[in-house]
Amino acid sequence: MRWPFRLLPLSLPSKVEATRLRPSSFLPRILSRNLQSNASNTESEARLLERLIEPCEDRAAAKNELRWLKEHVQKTAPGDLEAQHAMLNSLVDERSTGKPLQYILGTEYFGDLELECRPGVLIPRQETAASVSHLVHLLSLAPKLRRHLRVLDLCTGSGCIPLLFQHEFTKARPEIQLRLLGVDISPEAVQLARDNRSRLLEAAHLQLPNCDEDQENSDPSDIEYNTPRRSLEVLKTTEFIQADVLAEDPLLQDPAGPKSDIPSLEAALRLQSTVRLGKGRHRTSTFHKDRPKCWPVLICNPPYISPDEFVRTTSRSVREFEPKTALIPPVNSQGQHIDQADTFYPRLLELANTHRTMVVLFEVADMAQALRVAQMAKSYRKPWDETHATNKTLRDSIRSGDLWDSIEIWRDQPGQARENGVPEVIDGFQVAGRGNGRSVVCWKYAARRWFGDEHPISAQIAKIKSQVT
Amino acid sequence: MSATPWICRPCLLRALRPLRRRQSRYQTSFASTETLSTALLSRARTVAAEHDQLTRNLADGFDSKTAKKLGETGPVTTALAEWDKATSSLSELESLIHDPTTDPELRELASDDMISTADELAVAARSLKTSLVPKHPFAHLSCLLEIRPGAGGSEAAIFAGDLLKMYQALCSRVGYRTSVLKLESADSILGSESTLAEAVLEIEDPGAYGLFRSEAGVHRVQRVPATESKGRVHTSAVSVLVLPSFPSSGAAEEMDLENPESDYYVDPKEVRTEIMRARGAGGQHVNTTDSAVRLTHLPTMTSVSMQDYRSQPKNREKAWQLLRSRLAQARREKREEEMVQMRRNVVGVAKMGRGDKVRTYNWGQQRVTDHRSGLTVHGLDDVMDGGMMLEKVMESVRMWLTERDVEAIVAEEESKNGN
Ligand SMILES: C[S@@+](CC[C@H](N)C(=O)[O-])C[C@H]1O[C@@H](n2cnc3c(N)ncnc32)[C@H](O)[C@@H]1O
Repeated sequence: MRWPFRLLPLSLPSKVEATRLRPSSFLPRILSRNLQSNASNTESEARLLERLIEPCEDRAAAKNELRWLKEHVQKTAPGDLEAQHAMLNSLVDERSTGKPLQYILGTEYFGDLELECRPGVLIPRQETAASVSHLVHLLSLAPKLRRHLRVLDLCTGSGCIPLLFQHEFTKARPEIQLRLLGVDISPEAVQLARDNRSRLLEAAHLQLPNCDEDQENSDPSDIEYNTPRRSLEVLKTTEFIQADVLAEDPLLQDPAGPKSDIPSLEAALRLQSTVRLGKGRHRTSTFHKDRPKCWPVLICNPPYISPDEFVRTTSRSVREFEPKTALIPPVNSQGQHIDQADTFYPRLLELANTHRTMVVLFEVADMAQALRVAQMAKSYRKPWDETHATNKTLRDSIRSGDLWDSIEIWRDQPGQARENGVPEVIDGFQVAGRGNGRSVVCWKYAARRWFGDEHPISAQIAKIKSQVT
Repeated sequence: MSATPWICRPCLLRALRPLRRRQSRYQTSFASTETLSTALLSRARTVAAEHDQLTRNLADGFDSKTAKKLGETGPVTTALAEWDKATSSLSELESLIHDPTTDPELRELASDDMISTADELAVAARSLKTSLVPKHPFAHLSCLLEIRPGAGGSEAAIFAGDLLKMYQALCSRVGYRTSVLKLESADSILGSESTLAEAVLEIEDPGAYGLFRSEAGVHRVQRVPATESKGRVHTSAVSVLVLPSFPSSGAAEEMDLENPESDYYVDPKEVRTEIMRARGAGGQHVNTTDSAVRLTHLPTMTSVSMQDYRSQPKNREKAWQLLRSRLAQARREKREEEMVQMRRNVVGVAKMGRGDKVRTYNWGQQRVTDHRSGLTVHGLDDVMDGGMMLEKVMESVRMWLTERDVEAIVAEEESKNGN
């Protein structure tokens, strides 16, 4: 009889079962990864936490900050536990003096953008991001926006507003070409804003698929736009300049009056457009040509805290570590009847008028200030100017009787519906969202057409939203 | 359960002796794994026949649905072929032994060979069973482990921290990528971060849900707490939830997250978002780092809060992820409950709920016992360090789970065949 050799398979029939049977491999391994565990010294950590509670004002916040500081330290000195320990200690020391965490870490998140932050320039606030995001969201719903949209951000600080505007708007509407300009009186702010722009520009370059680079110099009208490519293009043309928003246009000024080194907004805009033309690099000349006076979107988060409130209501780390010029406006030169906290707003409304602005977003401190600013916008009367009589915008405003067609007040979370679902109106102004009164938003009559027809914008937006879902 | 009918008893007994010894190394409690019921076998043959038919269909022209079905029936067919092969080997050996003309030396060799063949048959039977068990719909996903102290005060909070470290150590040792999505320490007298109020550990590798599913339930600890002065042993409990995670857009598509018809869809209109801002004026007046977000799913009042990231949108995104996972798990559990109801009169399919005590960690005896698989291991330290012993325990539970699934299939098959 032949030996049945084929009956002797010694290897196990199934691979899966084989691993199951061998006690050395209960879980499938992924050995290429080298993961480090975090050893932590819990006792000294408890002491560090105690020191953070005062500046953070509560324990939960202190715990979060301690963790973020630890992560920062681990990133800065990877592997070197001793250095990490020493560094953590000194950072906690710094923080316990009240210095804001954002200045210590050097960054802050604005929406989902991580931006650089430096002492001397205001730390961007989440409420600002929420308002800007909401405005971007509304605009991105408008079906009849023009192919170009020009956005001017006054008092730009770290440049957070135009940069977030770009980031979110381009995601939603890559086919529209944005032109963004940020203005600030402080050279440190202008520098930081430019640095933040470069940082994002670098990131945008990395995002761009390689083959796209070749097309960079071709005619933009031939290209079908995607978000990374458009982002890159928009960031390239985004600028930050130094100017004094409150200063009078020197062309209108008494030549004998006081002179300053810092140009007025109008002068800076004129200068900037000539420089741009002089270089002649851009082919889309009709768009980039001298249009210093046309900014359909105007955003501003101006200093809005009166000296009195500054002492009473700001937190210590704001008072002692953030720049006062970013927070407290100068005394209003126009008239005593205007609150010092409100100094910027009449001037901003005037600029909105002279720059053919369709929509403004102004940040304010609270509901009281929101109502004052809304009232100013409502009673704003355009100074009569013959040269503008044929202007379409003007005709629009005449038709509705006022400069602004609609004036709204937004709370901290403008997109959130109220608990009871009933629309809120205060002193005749529509109020949107939840939280503190945070901004005033005014639309020109002509902006109605961005949304499709002549119906009020809010009605049109409601209609668009119901169609989307 | 009765022995397989095609091996004569004495041979089988001989064959099984060494096998049993081998098995005891793992101390598993399911010798029954090694046998196949006729019901399972007939199910396997049906599937294999279907597979053949599909293969022929596919030869006529490709369509993705058939291909997918083919992928599902393939493993059963392969496993059945292995099993058939082992069975016929065994019967050949058997007849060889029983043949009076076989010379004694050969007979001895053959009966030795019987051992390895019986072993092989057992393996084939087990893999056939596993292949018949339908894959858990979440098995291929990554997962979230939620760890929360239960009864037992600060000792439970300390043990919750121990469990978190245990799973982190395990993952880091075998190379799984984890991230702590959320970590809330309990305010204890020590004020240290090692006591937990709640932690969510994300295990990012696909398939983690299937591997860690075994960990859901109440984990009990028996030891003298560090805080106990009189040296008394306390019993405390920590609950572990294992949730499927849907982070990437790929998984989102597959699970139909955007489709309102889908089981896993969450309507944004039914979710309330709260930004838990610190008191006071906000705006320029304060420069808080508070970026916490709380979401509440209004129909079920399921609520999730997240504050671990510096960016508010990131907190919102992670909160959504967690909310989605919790809702998906809850819906899945409801379905399973319905299924159990349907099979009520057949074998009791044990549902592992969040309320069931699944495992005990006993310091005094330095042992860990899993109450489902019945496995006890004595290397407590190794378990707590996320070592091999822990993997062994987890594996025993996965086997146990498979067994329960197999029982359900057998019951189903039997009721279908009218017995
Ligand atoms: C409240 S901060 C806003 C910064 C930034 N837009 C933000 O939201 O984080 C006000 C900014 O206005 C600038 N500023 C103050 N007075 C100004 C003026 N007269 N003209 C232009 N910018 C001014 C300050 O330098 C400061 O950066």
